[in-house]
Amino acid sequence: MTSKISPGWIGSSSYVVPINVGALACTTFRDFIVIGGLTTNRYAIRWCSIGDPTDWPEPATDDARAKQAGQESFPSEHGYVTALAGNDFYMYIFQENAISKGTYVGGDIVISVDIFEEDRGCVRGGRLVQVDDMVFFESDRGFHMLLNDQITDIGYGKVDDSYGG
Amino acid sequence: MAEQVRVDFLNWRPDAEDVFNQGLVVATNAIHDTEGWKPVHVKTTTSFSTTGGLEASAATVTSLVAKPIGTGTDLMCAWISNNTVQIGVNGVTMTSAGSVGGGLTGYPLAFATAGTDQQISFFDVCENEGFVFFVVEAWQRQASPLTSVALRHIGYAAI
Repeated sequence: MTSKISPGWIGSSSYVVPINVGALACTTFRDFIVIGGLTTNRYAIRWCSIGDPTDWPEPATDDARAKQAGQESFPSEHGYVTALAGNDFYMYIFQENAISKGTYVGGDIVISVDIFEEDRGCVRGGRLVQVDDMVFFESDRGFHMLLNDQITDIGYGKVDDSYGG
Repeated sequence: MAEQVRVDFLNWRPDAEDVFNQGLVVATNAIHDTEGWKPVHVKTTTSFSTTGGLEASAATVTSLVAKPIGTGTDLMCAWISNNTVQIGVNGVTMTSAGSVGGGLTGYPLAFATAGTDQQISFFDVCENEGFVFFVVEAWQRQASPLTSVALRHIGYAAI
């Protein structure tokens, strides 16, 4: 899905504002752009109309349901939604102390979400990087890699002892 | 055991000498990045240059965050200059904005009042067919009363 930036675009002088809300993170998941850590609800994610990142209808409206746009809130005890990582098949939603996996189911639900980690999360925005299907992130315990729903503590020992929080 | 002091340099390692790597050991020109710091080459004649990496005018740019986009060496940047949030590719400012019912028109975003300690707090970028999408949030701490104000923006540009 990733597109190469064409040389002709460099220096482009315009952009478009599609939605009047702020967020801490964004990612591409299937045919959706998903934003998380909204200024209106730091524990929530919101996604655009299917196949159209320029269209963000108000969630829970007929227009949103028709276009599969929506919003989902997460338990506040796990902290803010701080980071997102997605691909063509699933997405991960990182809170400060939890990780959830979202899959596309369509219908009225659109994205089904299940929490599978309730300890490690992404400690704050900007502490995650995705390389293909590997997701590297920092929790309040150290550095980790998430791949195929398995978390590896890659910083265990000297690295976490030196740089961990 | 000595108390550990956490200093975030992100992927820049001025302290690399400790692990026997070749690296900077003195931070001379550092600018704020999200939750950390990164080096910057200071110029005086222009606010940005696309050559030699990111270059910023010390007189105007107070905060800068960059994320790679595409498959080459292009960077999507968000920075604060003259009390406004600026967004662009490789430091080339996008100077106009369309509006699709968002209510935020005009560019750049102007802070209501001049303040101190303004910085980009969060910045993220993703790509979809034909678009690069970004979210940016900046904070300004006012001197009196001491209040943090969140300033945010979402947008996309066609690739």
